[in-house]
Amino acid sequence: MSVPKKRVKWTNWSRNVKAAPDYYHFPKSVSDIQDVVNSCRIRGVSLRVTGAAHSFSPIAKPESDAMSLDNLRGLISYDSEAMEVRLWGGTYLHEAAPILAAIGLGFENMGDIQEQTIAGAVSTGTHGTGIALGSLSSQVVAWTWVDGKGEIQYHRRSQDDLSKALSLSLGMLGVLIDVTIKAVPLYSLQMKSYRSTLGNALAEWSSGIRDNRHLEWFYFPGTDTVQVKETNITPLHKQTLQSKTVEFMKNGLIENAGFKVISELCRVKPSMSRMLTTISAKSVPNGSKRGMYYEVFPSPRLVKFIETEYAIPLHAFEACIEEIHGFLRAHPFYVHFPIECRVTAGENAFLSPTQGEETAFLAFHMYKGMDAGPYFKWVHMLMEKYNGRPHFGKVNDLTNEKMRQLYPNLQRFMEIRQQYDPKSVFMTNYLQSIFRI
Amino acid sequence: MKEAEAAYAHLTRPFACIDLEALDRNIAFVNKSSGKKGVRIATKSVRSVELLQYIGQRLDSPAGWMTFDLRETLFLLEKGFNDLLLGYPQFEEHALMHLIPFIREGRTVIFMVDRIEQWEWLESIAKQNEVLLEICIDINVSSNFKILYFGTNRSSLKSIAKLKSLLEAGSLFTHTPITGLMGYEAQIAGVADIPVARWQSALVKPLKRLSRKDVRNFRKSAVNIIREKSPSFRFVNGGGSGSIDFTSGEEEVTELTIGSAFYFPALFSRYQNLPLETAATFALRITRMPEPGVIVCHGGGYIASGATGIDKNPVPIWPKNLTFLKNEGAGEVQTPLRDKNGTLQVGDTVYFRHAKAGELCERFSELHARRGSEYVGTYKTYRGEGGCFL
Repeated sequence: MSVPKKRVKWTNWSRNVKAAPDYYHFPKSVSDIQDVVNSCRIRGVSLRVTGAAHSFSPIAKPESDAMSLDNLRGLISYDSEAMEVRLWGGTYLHEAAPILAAIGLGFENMGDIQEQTIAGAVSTGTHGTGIALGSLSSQVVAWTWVDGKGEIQYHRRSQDDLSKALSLSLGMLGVLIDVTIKAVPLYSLQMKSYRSTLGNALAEWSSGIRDNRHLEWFYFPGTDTVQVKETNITPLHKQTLQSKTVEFMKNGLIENAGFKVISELCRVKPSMSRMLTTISAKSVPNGSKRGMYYEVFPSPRLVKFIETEYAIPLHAFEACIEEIHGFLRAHPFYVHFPIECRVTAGENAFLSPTQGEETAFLAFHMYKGMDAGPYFKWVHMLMEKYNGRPHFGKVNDLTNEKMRQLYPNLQRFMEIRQQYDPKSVFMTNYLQSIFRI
Repeated sequence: MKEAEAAYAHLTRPFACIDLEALDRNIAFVNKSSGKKGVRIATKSVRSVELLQYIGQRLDSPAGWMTFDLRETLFLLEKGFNDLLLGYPQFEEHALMHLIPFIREGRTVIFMVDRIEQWEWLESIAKQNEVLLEICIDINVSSNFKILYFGTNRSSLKSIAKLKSLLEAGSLFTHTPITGLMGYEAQIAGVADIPVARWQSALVKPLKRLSRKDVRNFRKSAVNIIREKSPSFRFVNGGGSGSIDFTSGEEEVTELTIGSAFYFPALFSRYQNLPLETAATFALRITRMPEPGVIVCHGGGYIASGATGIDKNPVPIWPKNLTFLKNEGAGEVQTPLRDKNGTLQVGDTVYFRHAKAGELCERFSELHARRGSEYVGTYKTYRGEGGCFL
């Protein structure tokens, strides 16, 4: 067994959620995890695995006991024929990709940050972009977890209800010890980034999302500018250290150090936001980036922000972005962060924000220290109109009532949760407020 | 027992034996009646590594083992066992040191504590060796009805106040986290419903009922207190084969200790509500007939431990109607018996039950197993593997 630390302060990456769990557990083995779960059950307290704390919502916030899987990282086993890789839940994505590369394999898709643990990323439905591709959760073919009874469970994905519950479970079924990922042969990507007008970008949208493996937009609020990133497979190519440095300096915009300066100016004098957004939009570099997939997907995040993100049906995207553009042009909020637009395939997980449909994800950011209130409030209201379902890991205004409207299979999910965690070890007050039946 | 005779015809007497079909049914009963609780096997009542494994593999919710001695615990660790709760405090430093490498490697061994002296001793060894030694607090849930003390005099923790002062005394210990609480309701699990002295039977039932309430209240409060003090607290152990129905219904209990229910020795026939079957027996050969109606078996003794009384004698179970001679009892090398039916001959075999479960194994190196009339083979006892611990 391992000894927990007492009253360790916990905060998420964006520092908008803070907690002081009574005990912080650092298990070194699966039986340690079982011990902690059993302990929490018999003590009648809740347990939350905190992951890498990259969620903006209180989804990972511990209330009594917290657990870190930091001691359970790395590769457990792999089957190169079936292209399946079994990884400890505490493995960070930035560790996992090189591990896979060493055996000639890769993740089919990744998001734009790689700081999460794989258990956390899978549990919250972390996704990238690509209309033919699903989230990280959908790449999992088997899960091992310790349920609320302290028992080790293993399940392989099929069309059954348990798979649909496990695929995106927010940790409510137990502590995810390891996941088996369906990998693909190692590949490289070429990313093309260019500036476009909203009109041109929209004209090319529907063909663009299908002609490219990945397509991503950064729309600059209230301006007519969109940064488009098109990414496609290219022959294997590893970046040299020098090209990495160059890229770090000039590629993209919100990854850029200069953006930090602009953001600080906006924070100090919010009324400059519109002007600085326009300057930013004009400075979007046209360029390209090439490297191993795990060098191309993620971007460093030099500036801290908070974020809200919604999934809407793909067919509604054009109307939605036009409405956003129309409103933001006329009523500028003090915001300078571009709106990130991505697409994914539909997934059948009970709690998937896609609910089986091809989906557009729109992510709205606000620089840390600036008031996100009015902007996010408007986003929440607008998204109701488009039947938007918020990403569980991002700032949202979900209520129990909304959950029931948006997720027709909520009842079934909660039945399965009850089966694996009858004493509600993994239900925090926050989860209870949204998920109660 | 005709089937036993067929299965064991070729064996040299005396021998000890196990009826696997009866054992299987006893295991099934334990699985059924333990409800959703875990089952921790009391090794003292089995004392055979191979049979411990046999039983462990057939439990629906195995919760580990309750061992009785440090060297025995080491013996089981070396055989690959895990989750061992050493049920009795000890002070053998040399023996404990041998366990530490296994604990370091991740195996779970938990030590029983009811006094600060035991706890301090464990804490100092844990500190010196930079290892964590998990402890389980053993509360004494005996009932004291003034005129009659109902229970055991083992653990010193007879009240919540004593428990609190122990926790207070150990509150700064850093290397001995409390992970469990044990409350063995000996007065329910260890006192037969049908006592040998008939006059007691009128008392036993109401006392058992009263003491159930006592046990429940004491254990509930103890659990609540430890819950607040220890973040590693994870199990509450209760019961024994004799209280399986009561303890499995106790909300805060997470696991039951079960031992005697598997072999079902003679003492346990004095409990009601235990539809178990005799699984372990031993057999002696009749070698003499001093007079009609009296036979003499070669071999004997095998008296069980505890408050000495005739209920600690082994019980001849087959053929029927055999009784001990009052003046001789179960002898050192030979055992005379009165044969009321007068049908037995020199050369025949008599089967006995031991009064207790595991002690039989201290006298034999193996248990011969059968299924019906089919001889299956042997299961070595601890003694058969050179394991002699107490």
